[in-house]
Amino acid sequence: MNALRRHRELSRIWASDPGWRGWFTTVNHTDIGRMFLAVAVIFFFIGGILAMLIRAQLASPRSPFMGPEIYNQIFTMHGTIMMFLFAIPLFEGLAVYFLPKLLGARDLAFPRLTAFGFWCYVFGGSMLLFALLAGIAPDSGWFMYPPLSSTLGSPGINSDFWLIGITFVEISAICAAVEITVSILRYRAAGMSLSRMPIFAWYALVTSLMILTGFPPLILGSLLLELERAFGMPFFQVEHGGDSLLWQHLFWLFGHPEVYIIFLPAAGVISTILPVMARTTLLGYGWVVVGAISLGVLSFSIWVHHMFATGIPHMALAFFSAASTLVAVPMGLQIFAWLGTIWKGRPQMHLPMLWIVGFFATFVIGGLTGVMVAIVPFNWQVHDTAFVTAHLHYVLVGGFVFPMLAALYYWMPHLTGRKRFFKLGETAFWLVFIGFHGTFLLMHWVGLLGQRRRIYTYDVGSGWEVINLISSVFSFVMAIGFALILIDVIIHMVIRSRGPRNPWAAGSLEWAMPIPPPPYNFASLPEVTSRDALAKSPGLALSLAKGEGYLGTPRDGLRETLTVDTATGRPNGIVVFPKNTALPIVMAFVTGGIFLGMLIKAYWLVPLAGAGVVALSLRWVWGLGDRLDQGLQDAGRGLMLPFASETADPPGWWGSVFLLIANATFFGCLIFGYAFLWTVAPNWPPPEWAVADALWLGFALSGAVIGPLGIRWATVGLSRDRSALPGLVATLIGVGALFAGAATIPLSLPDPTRHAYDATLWVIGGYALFHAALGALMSGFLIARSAAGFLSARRLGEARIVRLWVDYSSLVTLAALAAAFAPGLLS
Amino acid sequence: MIDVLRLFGPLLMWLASFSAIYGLHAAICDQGWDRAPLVAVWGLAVALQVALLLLLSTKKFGAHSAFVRWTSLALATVGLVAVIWTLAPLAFLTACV
Repeated sequence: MNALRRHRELSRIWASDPGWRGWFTTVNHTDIGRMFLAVAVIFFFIGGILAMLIRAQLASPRSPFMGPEIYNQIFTMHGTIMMFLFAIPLFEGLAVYFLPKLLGARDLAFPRLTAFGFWCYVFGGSMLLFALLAGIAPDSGWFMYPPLSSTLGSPGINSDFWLIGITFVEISAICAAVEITVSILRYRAAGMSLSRMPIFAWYALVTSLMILTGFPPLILGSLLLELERAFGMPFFQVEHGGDSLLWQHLFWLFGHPEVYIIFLPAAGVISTILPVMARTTLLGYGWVVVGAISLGVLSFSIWVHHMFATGIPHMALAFFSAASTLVAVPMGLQIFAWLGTIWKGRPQMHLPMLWIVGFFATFVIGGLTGVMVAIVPFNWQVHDTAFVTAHLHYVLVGGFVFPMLAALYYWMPHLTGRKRFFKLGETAFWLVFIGFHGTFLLMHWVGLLGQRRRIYTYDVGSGWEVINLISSVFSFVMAIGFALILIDVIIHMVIRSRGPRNPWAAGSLEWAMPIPPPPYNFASLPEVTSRDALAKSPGLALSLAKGEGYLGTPRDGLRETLTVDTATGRPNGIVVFPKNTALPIVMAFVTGGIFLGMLIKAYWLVPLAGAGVVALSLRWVWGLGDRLDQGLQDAGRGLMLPFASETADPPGWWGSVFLLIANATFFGCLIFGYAFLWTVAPNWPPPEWAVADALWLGFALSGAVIGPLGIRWATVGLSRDRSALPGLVATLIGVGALFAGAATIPLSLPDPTRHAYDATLWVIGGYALFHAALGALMSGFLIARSAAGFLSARRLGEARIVRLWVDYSSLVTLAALAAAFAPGLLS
Repeated sequence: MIDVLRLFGPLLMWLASFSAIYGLHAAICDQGWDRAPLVAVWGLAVALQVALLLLLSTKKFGAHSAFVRWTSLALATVGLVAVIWTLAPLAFLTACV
């Protein structure tokens, strides 16, 4: 097969549906990545317009431009959009588009999940946009502190839009994090060991793991606050044993890692682009990996530095202050690695490099003011002032937006296959750079003079007038700069000026393909022997196009790629991806019904949509796998490999492991919240403790034994070519007993509005019930799959996946019962 | 997967120690107990980090890949420094003021 015929055949197999239908049914990562990036940029401009309205309001004292009601919605939505609807989705879009190309694969691990996540993001974001246009947007600040955001301070629907809309969007982030993690660990080029991974993949891996463990606290917090608002369960009401500080803990458990979730991908971009611009390789690759991992984990120990003014004992403050200062060390390590890279290379001041230099100048200032606010006495001095606003904009704009603009100009030829025509980008850089510093450098000053955050007006004679006016003027200079960038990009896309295949002479794999990329990425999959594969083999692109890599011969119209061993990069399986389908968008739409039902208090819609989600999920997974053992397949270059569905740990198993990590974090935060209220909140102990019923406890304990044993019995039976049915029936009985046991928790406390204790145990009990029901659903599904012939000694993967979930359900049910009934028994 | 655990494990262990001591601190202040358990747990946490660092440097438990071996040892050192530095206030400050 010659290269042209291979290209045509692969294009036919991998292309999205023609016409408008293709927008809604594509599951290709290149399409979805572009769609993510485009929608995130639209949200950036909406958030930017809101920022301009804020600066217009603050330009003069006693401004009549906006009243406080509208102003509160504007600044809340500015922060919300920039953090949740722009920054995180932009990372997702970047990773979805580039990771398979950088890693030498044809798609991400779960293409339909990519599409589902994208549509959840669009629908959730649309809810918030609707609220903004209708004048009922959230107005309690982007971190939604109760009681300001509870029914006491915000009796309307405004806060509900935030709590429900953002949770819907977070599904998208969790989906993306699972598939990015699995893709990086398993979907790489042959020979790409951990030490040969592109540096961006390391950053994306750390970021994804952080999303998996950083977002659950916020999802939990949003759930609790919505339950309080909708049903009066008093998690944050002091008079009923709740505490508003619980929200701050849960929010900042998410919120501080969030800063690094935003920064780390940008650092990955810099580590990728900077060596290319400097005509060299990254200095201290290993040290940079150590820095990225350290930064990711350390960032989970500094959430309390947002709460230094809440009356926490000095020793605890000192723990978090020390941790906050420690973070500067891995950060500094990376900065010095980048400076060293410039030093050892021959830097060329192309436009991406200009933005990176802008990043250095801006982010270092933001980092240093970060160390300042990590010190408790200084923090108290500037708490809730414009100084903090200035600091966070230096970190987030300098540390994320500037590197992303470097990425835009670096990778734009890859997206379009064209080269820039006019040089508007350089002018835009200077406008944005000067405008940014003119706006925010001054904001430090006015903050030190005492201007508080989020005020909608101030008096004449405060001493802030001139500073605010200058700040506002510069903000409009910055806005003109961003508008010029948009014009530059549009001109680039419209003018048909064909560019070279590898315009920067980069060494990474994304340039070893035609640009703009075909839907299959690589005509055959590469084998790499170094970190910069393309630099080492300049003829790699041609060789791959000629089919000299793996899977170079299209087979039966299947969308195929390789999986590899995590550590060594040795190929160990062939994955067959699903075709184009409308299932993800339909599923996202029906999932939206759950959130919409809660939002408009049409609670009948919630179970209805939930049943729809279950039905669609079953449809989703039923189409996977095979009814016959296929055995080893020809992967090309003399290599024979099994299909991934015939391996012990198929992609779904890996996905389940990481989803369970996020799930366990959620449960851990729930237990933390329970312990927090118990030890810190006033009005404890509760009026009475829950009392256990021995019979039902016995049910739960026996279920926790029978369920896990049953699924093991089924797996062993399958591996010996015997029927899995007896084991699966035992599993079903076991999880049924778990369900009955878990039901005793809410039944023993009939009124969840009485006290925060009752309310918390209802949530803990509900969590256990949900997982027992999930275990039952999975067991029943597996019985049906077994009867239909989808399981065999070679095809054990599905049973191993269900085993993970049944084990987890058993553990959390036991933990929930201990949390509910141990205090009563001990007292 | 084991190599990924070797890389992330040391700092996750530090995070667990840090969280445990923060929780214990809350319990001590709530119940009015003496601060001695805090110092004891800190000592245990330091000992565990040292043990992990030593384990990762052995042939049996360390990684086969030179890159993962070096990186995991560097991260174990970071974990040890972190457990000493971030919990050092235990030695200097009053517990519940």
